[in-house]
Amino acid sequence: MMHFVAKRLLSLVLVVIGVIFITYAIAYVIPGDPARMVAGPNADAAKVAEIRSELGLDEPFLVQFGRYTARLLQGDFGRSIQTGRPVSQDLFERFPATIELMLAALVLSLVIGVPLGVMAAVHRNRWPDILARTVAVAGISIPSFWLALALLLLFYGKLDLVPGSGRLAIDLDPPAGITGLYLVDSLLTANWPAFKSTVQHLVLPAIVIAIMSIGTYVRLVRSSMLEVLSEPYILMARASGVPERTVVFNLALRNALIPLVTFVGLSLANVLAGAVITETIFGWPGTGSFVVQAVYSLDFPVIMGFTVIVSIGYVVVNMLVDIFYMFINPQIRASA
Amino acid sequence: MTAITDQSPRAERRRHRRVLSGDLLAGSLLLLPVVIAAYLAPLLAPYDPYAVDTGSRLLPPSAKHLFGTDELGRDLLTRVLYGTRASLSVAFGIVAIGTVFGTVVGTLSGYLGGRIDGVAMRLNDIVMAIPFMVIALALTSAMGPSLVNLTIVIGILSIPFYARMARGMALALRREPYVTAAWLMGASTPAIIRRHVIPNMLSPMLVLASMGLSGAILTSSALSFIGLGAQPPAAELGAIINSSRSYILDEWWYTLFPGLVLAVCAFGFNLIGDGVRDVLDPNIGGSA
Amino acid sequence: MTAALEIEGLSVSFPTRDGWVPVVREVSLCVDEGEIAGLVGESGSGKSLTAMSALGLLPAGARMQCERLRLDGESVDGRTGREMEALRGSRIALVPQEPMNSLNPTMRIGRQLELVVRSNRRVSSAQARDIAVEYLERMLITDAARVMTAHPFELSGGMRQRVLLAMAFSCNPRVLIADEPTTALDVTVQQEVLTLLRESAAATDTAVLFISHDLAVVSQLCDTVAVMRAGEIVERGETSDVIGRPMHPYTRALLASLPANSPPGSRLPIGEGGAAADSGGPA
Repeated sequence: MMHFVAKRLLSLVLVVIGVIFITYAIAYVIPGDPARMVAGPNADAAKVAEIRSELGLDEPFLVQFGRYTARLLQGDFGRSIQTGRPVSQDLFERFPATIELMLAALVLSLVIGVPLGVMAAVHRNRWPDILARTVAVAGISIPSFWLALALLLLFYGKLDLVPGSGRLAIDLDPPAGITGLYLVDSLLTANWPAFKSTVQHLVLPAIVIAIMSIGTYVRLVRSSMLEVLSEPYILMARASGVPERTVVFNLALRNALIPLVTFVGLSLANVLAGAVITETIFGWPGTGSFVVQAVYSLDFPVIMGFTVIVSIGYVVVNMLVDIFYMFINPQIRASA
Repeated sequence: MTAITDQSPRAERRRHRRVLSGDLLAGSLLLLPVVIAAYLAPLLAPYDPYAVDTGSRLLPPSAKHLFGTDELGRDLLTRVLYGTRASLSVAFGIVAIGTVFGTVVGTLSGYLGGRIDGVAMRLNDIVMAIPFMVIALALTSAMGPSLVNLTIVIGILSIPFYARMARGMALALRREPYVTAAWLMGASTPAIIRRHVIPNMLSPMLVLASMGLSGAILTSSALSFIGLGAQPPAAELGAIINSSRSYILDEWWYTLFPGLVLAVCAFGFNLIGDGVRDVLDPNIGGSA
Repeated sequence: MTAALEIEGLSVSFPTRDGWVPVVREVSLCVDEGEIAGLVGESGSGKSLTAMSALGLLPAGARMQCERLRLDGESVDGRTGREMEALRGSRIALVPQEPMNSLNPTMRIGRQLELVVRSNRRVSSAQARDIAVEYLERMLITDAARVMTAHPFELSGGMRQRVLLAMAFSCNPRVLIADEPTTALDVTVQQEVLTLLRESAAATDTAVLFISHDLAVVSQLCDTVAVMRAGEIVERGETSDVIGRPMHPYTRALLASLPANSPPGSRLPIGEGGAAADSGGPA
C-alpha cells in the first residue's frame, strides 16, 4: 500500500514538472512582449529594455525556467500584469467562487443523475428508461453557452426571477468567511438574506455546468446497474427471498456505483479548472473568468500560475481517488 | 466437420452484429439532412452570406427570411447554413487529427511497450493534467484566432485521449494467439501491426470517433463563441451565437436558430455514436 | 406422501424477431417431500427455465403459462415474480450453478447470510448471525467464525458452494432447486457437496429438484429422474428404471453417449440438441 502511494507521488512530481515546463515553453513562444505591456504604451525603447532585463526576460530559456521553478517552490508565482498584485493572491481570492460553483454543479448532477440512471435500469426499455435516456443524450448535446444564454433570457430577461450576474447581490455583504463558500457560510451563520441571494445567483450557472454531467451519469449508472443486476449473485439473493427493494438499492447499487467513482473523481479533479465560459457569461467572479481576461491581456504570470496550480490539483485529486478506489474494492486492497 | 474458426475480434463482432440500431437510424435521420444541407450551402442558400442589407436589419422570421435577419441585414438562414458547414468541417478535422495521430501513438506505445510506452504515457499524463480550456485559449490566441488554428489546437489536445484508448486496445491485442502465431512465423513487427493489430482496432476507434464528433463540435463552437474561431464576417455557429448576444432580449430568433442547429448536430452525433457502438461492439458499455 | 412441488402444463416462451419461441412445452412434474428428483437434459433443453418458473424468477420478457403450480400444497400459479418474494427462501430456495459468481464480491459472507436469514425470519441481527454460523457448521465448515468475516474471493470454489448450500438451507425451505450445483467444481469436491446436499435434505425432509446434464451424478443421487429434450419431458420414472431400462430412444442415446458406455473410436450417438431442434430422433 505504501509502496503504491510512494510510486504515485513520484509520478505526480514528474508530471507537475512536465506541466510547468510545457506551459512555460508555450508562454515563451507566444508572441507578444510582456516587458512592453508592463512598461505601458508610452514608454520608450530604453525603458522597455530596462524592464525586460529587470524581469529577467533577456536570459536564455532554461535559465528563466529554472528561476521560475525555484520561485514557485517558495510559493512565489510572480505578479499579475493586469492587477499588479501577487498572482497567488489574485488566484486564491477567486478560487472559492469557482470551487463553490463546481461543487454545486457536481452535487446537482449526482442528485439528479444517479436516481435517473437507477430508474432507467430498473424499468429497462419501458417509458421511464426511454425518457431518462433521451434526457441524458439531450443533456450531453446542448451547447452550454447557448443554454446559459437561453436560461438567462427566460429567467432573468423575461421572468426576472434571478439576477443577471455575479455571486451575491451588490448591497449585501458576503457571509463570514469560514469556508469561503457562500452557500455553506451563510447557512452556518444563519444569514438568510445572504443565503437566498447566493442560491439565486448560483442556480443557473450550476445547472448549465451540471447538465452535461447529468447525461453522463445517467448513462453510466444505467449501464452499470444493468450489468450488476444480471450477475449471478443478484439472482441468488432474489432466489433466497431478499426483497427486491433491498436487492436494488443495497446490493446492486453499491456495486454499480464503483465505476462511478472514476468519473466523480475526474469531476473533482476538474473543480479547480472551472468552467471558463459559463463563468464569463454569468459574470461569476471565479478564476475561470479571470484567466480568460489574462489570456486576452497576455498576463503570463497569471496564466502560468493558474495552469500550475490547477495541474497540481488535478494530479493530486486523481491520486487520492485511485487510493480511495483501492479502499472500496476489497479484492484490490487485499492484493496490494 | 469444423473449419478453422477465425477468432479475431473483428470476426467475432461480425458474427454477433445487430443489423440495425434504433439509435443509429434516428441519429442518421436527424443528421444526414443537416449535413447535406450544410455542404450544399452554396446551392441551397437563398442569399449571399456576406451580403449586407441595412434596410432589413433584425427582421423576425418571415416568408422572405425563414430564420430572420441579423444586425447587418444578412439572411440568417444563409448564415446558419454556411456556419453549419464551417462547424461540421472543424469537428471532422478535430476528430481526424485526434484519431489518426492518437491511434499511431497509442498503438506503438501499447504494442512496443518499454521505454517508448513510458515516455509516451508520461507525456499523455502531462497534457491531460493541463486545464484544457486555458491551454486551448492560450494556444489559439497565440497562433492567431482562425478556424484552421482552432481545428489544429483542439485536434492536438485530443490526441492523448485517443492515444490512451488505442494503447489499451493494442496491449490487449498483443496478447492474442493469432498475433503470437504471426510473430512465430517470422512476420515483422510493422507487418503485424499493419495486418493484425490496427484492423482489429478500427471498430472500437470508429465508435470513439463518432462519439468524439459531438464533443468536438461543442468545444470548437464554444471557443468560437468567445472569439477564437471564425473571424467576422465568416460564419460559424458559435460565432453567430456570440454576435446575437446583444440582441437576445428582443431578437430571440437570432440566438435560437444557430443554437438549435448546433444542438441538433451534437444530438445526432451522439445518437450515431451510440448506434455505431450498438452495431459494432455492444460490449463497450454505455446505453442499451 | 404429500407433493412439495407440483408443476402441471408449464410452458415458457420468448419473443424473438420471428415471433414467440417456446422453450418449455407443457412440462409437468412432481416432487414429494424428502424426494430427490432429477431433471436431466442437454444445454438448452429448458430444464433451468422450468426450475426458474417454480421460483418466479424467469428472465424479463419471458412469457409463462401453466395449468397448475403448487408449492407445499399452496397454489401459486397466478402470482407475479414480486408476489413470489415472500415464498422464496422460506418455502423454496436455490442452490446455484456458479459458486464463483453467486456471492456478492464486495460483501462479507456473514453479512450476506445475515441478510438472507433476516429477509425470511423475524430475528435480530445477532440471532441471524448465530443461525448463519450454525448452518455453516452443518455444511462442515470448521472455522465458521473466520468464514463469516471473509469475502468470497478468499474462499475456494468448494467452500463457496458450501456457503451457498448453507444460505439455501438456512431458512428451511420445503423445496430446494439445485441447478447443476456441482458442474463447476472439481470431481473430488463434487462428491462432498453432493453428500452434504443429500444429508441436509434428508434431515429436513426437503424436496429437491436436482437439475443436471450429468447422468452419472443423477443416477447416484436421485430417487426419480425426468429426461428433458427440446422443452419436453420425454421419459420419467424411478432412477433404476430409467437408467436401467430406458424406453425412449433419446434416453437410450443419452446413456449411450456416456463415454464409458461407448467403444473406443466410435462416434457418440447424440448430435445437436436443445429447444430449437425440431427434428424427430437423435442426430
